[in-house]
Amino acid sequence: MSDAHVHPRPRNPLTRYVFSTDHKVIAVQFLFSGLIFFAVGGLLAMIIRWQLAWPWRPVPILSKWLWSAPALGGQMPPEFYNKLFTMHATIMIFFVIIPILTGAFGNFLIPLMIGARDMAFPKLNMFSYWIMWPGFAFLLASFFVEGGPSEAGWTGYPPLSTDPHAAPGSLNGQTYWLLALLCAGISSLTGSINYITTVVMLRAPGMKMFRMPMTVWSLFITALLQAFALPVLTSALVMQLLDRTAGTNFFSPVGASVGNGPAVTGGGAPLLFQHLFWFYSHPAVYVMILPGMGIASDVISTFSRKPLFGYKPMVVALAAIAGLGFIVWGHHMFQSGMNPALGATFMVSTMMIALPSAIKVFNWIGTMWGGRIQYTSAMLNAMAFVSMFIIGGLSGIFMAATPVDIHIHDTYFIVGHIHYVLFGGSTFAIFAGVYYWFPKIFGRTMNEGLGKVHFLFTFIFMTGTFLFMHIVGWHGHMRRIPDPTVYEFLRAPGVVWMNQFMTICAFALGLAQVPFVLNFFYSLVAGPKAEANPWKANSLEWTTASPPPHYNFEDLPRVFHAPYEYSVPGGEEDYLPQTSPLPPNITLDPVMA
Amino acid sequence: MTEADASLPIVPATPAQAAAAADVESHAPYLKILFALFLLTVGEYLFARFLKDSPGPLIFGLVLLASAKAALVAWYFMHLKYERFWVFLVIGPALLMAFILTLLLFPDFVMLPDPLGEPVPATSGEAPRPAG
Amino acid sequence: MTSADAPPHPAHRPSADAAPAPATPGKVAIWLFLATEIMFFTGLLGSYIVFRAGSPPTSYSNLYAPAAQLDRLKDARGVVLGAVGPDADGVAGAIASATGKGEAEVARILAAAPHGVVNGLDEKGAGELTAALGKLGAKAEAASLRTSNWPRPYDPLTNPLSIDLTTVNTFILICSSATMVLAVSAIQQGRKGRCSLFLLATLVLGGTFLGVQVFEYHELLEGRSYPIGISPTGHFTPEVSLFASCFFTVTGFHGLHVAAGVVTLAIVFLGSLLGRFSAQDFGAVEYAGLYWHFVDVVWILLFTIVYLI
Ligand SMILES: [Cu+2]
Repeated sequence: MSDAHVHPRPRNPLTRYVFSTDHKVIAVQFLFSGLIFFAVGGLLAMIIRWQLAWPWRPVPILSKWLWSAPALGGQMPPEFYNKLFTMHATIMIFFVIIPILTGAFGNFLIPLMIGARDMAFPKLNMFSYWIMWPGFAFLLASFFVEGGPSEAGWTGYPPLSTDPHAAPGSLNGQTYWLLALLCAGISSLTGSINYITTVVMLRAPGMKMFRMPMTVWSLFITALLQAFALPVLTSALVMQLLDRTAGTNFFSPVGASVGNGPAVTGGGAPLLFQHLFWFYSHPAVYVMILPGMGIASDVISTFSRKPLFGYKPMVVALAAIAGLGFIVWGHHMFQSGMNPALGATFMVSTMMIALPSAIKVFNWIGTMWGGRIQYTSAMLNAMAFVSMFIIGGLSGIFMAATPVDIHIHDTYFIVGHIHYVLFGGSTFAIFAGVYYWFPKIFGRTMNEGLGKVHFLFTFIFMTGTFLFMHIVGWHGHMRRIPDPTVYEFLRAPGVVWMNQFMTICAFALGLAQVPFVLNFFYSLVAGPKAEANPWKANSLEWTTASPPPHYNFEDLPRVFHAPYEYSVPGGEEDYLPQTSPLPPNITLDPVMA
Repeated sequence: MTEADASLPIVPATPAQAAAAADVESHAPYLKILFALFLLTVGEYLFARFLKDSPGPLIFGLVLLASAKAALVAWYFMHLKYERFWVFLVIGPALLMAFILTLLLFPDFVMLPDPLGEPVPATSGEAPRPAG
Repeated sequence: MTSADAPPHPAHRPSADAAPAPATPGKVAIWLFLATEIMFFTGLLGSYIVFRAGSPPTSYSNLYAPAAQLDRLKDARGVVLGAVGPDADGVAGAIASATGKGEAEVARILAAAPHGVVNGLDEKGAGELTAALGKLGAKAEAASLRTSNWPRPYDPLTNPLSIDLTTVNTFILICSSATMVLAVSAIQQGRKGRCSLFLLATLVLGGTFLGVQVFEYHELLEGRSYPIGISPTGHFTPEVSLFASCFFTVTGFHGLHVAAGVVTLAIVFLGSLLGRFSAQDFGAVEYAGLYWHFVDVVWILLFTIVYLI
């Protein structure tokens, strides 16, 4: 291998830390901006919960400068509640989970885990981060425009979103929202093209596709999902933007007039937006969970000191989930007036996803079974990911069945479901990933004790916050209403009590992140220096220094086997890095590994 | 760009490709394709002009002609003829998804009951009488 | 073009574009990018197709504006004004007195001649107005209501698009695709001058295509007046009908892609003048070409779907 292409790390701090083309720096940039927006989105969630527990009671401290309406006596204007849940979901999905999972972990791990010096297109990579910034700007600016930010929900359904007379947030806030999402979309698209090309072209010698860690597989398949589905959302957002700004008629029925506004020519169909939106946004939920599955697979195998149970079936299951994900989008639309023939099709295809999902769950449990489990913070979070994914996955089957969905559609049941998948699933996976790779990213070790405290309280209060959502939802508690007590059946003491309990747990869940923040920043500055391979793991990123040098590897590594050869019989250690040849007496199961 | 080229497989040309290589020296194939595209464009124009009042054959013929043109450009100009399988792995799924998406939009936006064909009760509030 | 550009023994060296193309990161990325573009245009064109196919049969008519309620207008008649003739004021007065239309609306009808449409008449009124206009030296004929689910090609009363012009423009874009592939072929053989020449030709043809499209947009948006069946305002703008919305969005985004392609080609052309490319190193030319051909393929489909069907 010639190292003629290896340049020294740039000296100029501007190109070294800010406008860097180094995938590791870009990953950290994605991580930090994602975590900052995580705090913002979390704060919005707290205000939502406050309103639901104690409707119309002024929010301490915040109500003074969030809505300056003394006429209301400090109580929240109802449309502000709509803005809260819209922006909470938008921020968490498009500016926290997707950027952290694909932007931060994808950027940091793909080149290191396949033994490449950088992404295939470092400048494009830098672009895919910095194009997020116009998105951030539009998103934050929308809070200050006339009418405030979007309030059409994160799904942005027309006509609420397209007609400026429909709601204050549909004045200019919705346009800013669309522009913010378009920027985030361009970031994801350029990123995914970069990831796919890198995985296909830049693998180190010997790194066959079926020797890649599950994390890389999951990020690779995630990138494919984004590349093929996201452009459709882009086209839908563009059409909505034109409906709002150029007067086109894509999503307005003939002669539609909303909120005393003038009638438009119309001729289009609001339902079309739902189809195009969910064509991307169902795959998008896999964009948010597949990388978590990959991270959990690697963490669980490492800390069980056992090979991943059924490596190839795991890959096939990932691909099956992704493939099926393209033909199930209609399960979000059973109640939309969609053609019933389509409803049955989408119900069957959705239920089929349970099969590959079950394969994954069984294989994670099979990996842990009989292992010598090390209960590190990363492992605890990964185990929480598996168990929460089981709950979130099972409650998903309820929604997949049309007859059941008719009962629970747009209730808190689905809010509970989505949070079990996105908080219980994706967020625990993010925590697992941060605890696991922090030593590699920053070269310092996090405090395990604080990590376990953080995990324990997060797990307890996460359950307290989201579990009861299923119950109130089954009881008929609608989502997206600012005041449940206007309904007789939601004034029942049990529902009120559960709403208040969930809110208190949500606040505690927010407080439970304090140890994480302290741990993160303290370790960043003063944590003990990390060794190259603190977890005794096999994959390539652990064969280089912590943090890795510029251009990652002194010499490009040579790979001899898959990364899951733990506790190989006859080996000296209980792990065998991918760069060490297998002992001669070992043969691998051709199907499972 | 980093060590991309070092690990790339170099595959020798097959006889068919070598034959194509000799062919390429003259630009005849490309000009032939251009001529075919010209004929197809004129064909489309005439087809649309003279069959404009019979939508069935019009759509069928035009879709066929347009697909032929698109295929010629893709196959010869975009060099799909010379590309290896991986290119089809990239665009194949995209075309499949495009087809599925468009197809699954039909039940909701095209196969609708005709609102004007439905019997409308003479006065509102009165149930329509069963026919016969 | 000089003979120094040509490789010494072209016949003995297998041409690069005939050899099995090795996968390079750039090529993988450009094909992935094209796959994303396929999906983007699927969103736009797929929506167009289902709107086109599912539009109710009374959405467009020769006498009323798009999306007008036509259920009770089955017996409506109108007059198509073929030529105003010498007495424009008289014609305007006759139309105004026959229909009670305001000055602006009558002016729009006159401006749209030879396809000016006077609506809001019954059978008797249409006959009388036709006769009155005939006396004034104008060309006019009575017309009954004719509805369709979409503007029909070659029907000037519902469809403002010029198929003749666009057919020529389509062929211009196809020619630019051919010159592009010739440019790639030239640089693969190391003929740098020839490559630059073909790139320049592609650039000029692409620019011509854009110019014709700008001209077409100008005519539609403000240059000409159209009858009521196309637009109630006399101008074909995105908000006047679903067809207009689709037309401008689809062709507009294609036009933006062509414009981006022209900019890319201009950069590549400058690079070729500076001698950046050779028989061994022509990635940028090839990738720009792939993008350019893709834009051409989209136009071929778009032309058929939007203009001809
Ligand atoms: Cu879904």
